[in-house]
Amino acid sequence: MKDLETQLRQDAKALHSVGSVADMSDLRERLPGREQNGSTTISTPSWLAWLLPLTVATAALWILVINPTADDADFTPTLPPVASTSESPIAPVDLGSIELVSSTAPLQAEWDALVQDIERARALIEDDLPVSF
Amino acid sequence: MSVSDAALIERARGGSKDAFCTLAQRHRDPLFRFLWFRCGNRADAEDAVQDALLNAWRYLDSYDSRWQFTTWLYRIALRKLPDTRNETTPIDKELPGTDDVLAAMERDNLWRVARETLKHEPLLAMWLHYGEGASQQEVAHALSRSVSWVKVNLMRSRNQLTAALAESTG
Repeated sequence: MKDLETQLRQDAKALHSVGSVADMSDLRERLPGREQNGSTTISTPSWLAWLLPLTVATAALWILVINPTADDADFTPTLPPVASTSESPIAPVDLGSIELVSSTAPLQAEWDALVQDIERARALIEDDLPVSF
Repeated sequence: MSVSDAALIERARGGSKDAFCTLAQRHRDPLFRFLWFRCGNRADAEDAVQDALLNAWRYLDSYDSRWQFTTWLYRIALRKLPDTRNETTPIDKELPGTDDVLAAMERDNLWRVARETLKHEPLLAMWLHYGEGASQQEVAHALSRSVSWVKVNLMRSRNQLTAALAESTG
């Protein structure tokens, strides 16, 4: 049995001399992007690789060429002119012109009743007041 | 002075393709011979080597340094190979490759008899142990078998081989 094991080892050496891979030169090019911890991980998609530079380039183009405020030397924001008070397009409110709408009519009635109650109470107090303290 | 496997693996884990290629160069031939036995022909074995190395690169972080790097490669290679043989089918009797010199040399090679005689997995176990010098523990790990299985099958394979040799000479 020992001879068989020795013979197996010797014959294996003969195979070692011929059993080699012909060409592995393209291995480096074939290696894909790394994945960590033996699990499938999300590698950066190819479209994302060019999307980010494209976004930055578009933003830069907008700021430098298209955006008109970029030409202002002092970068003062352009606001609409402020109208003077006398020229205000907003007419002064005529308080006398305000009329109660129907929805507020019940409130007015209550208010009138309250005023009457107050007047009545004041008259009673005045009647009861002593002539002198 | 050559860099150790452990150092190369560490660098490769850090993303160095050069380190991994050095590692692959170092271990590709044992892997190829193993797959040569497994596949039965040179072209398939070379393809399987490439696939195994690519997967080794992909899953390098899962490598357990308790085992030899080659042993780990065997496991990867076997896992990814399509199972075109079943356990009862003997290995092809064709010689791997068509080179006349190789054919002449193999004609008297004991491994040729082993390939014709033994079943698939015991042959791989025998090759790893006697051909590549792997320990029984490493063979068991590479083939995802128990050490007891390896011991029993090595003994059976030796007996089968002895019987085949006696039959051919007698």
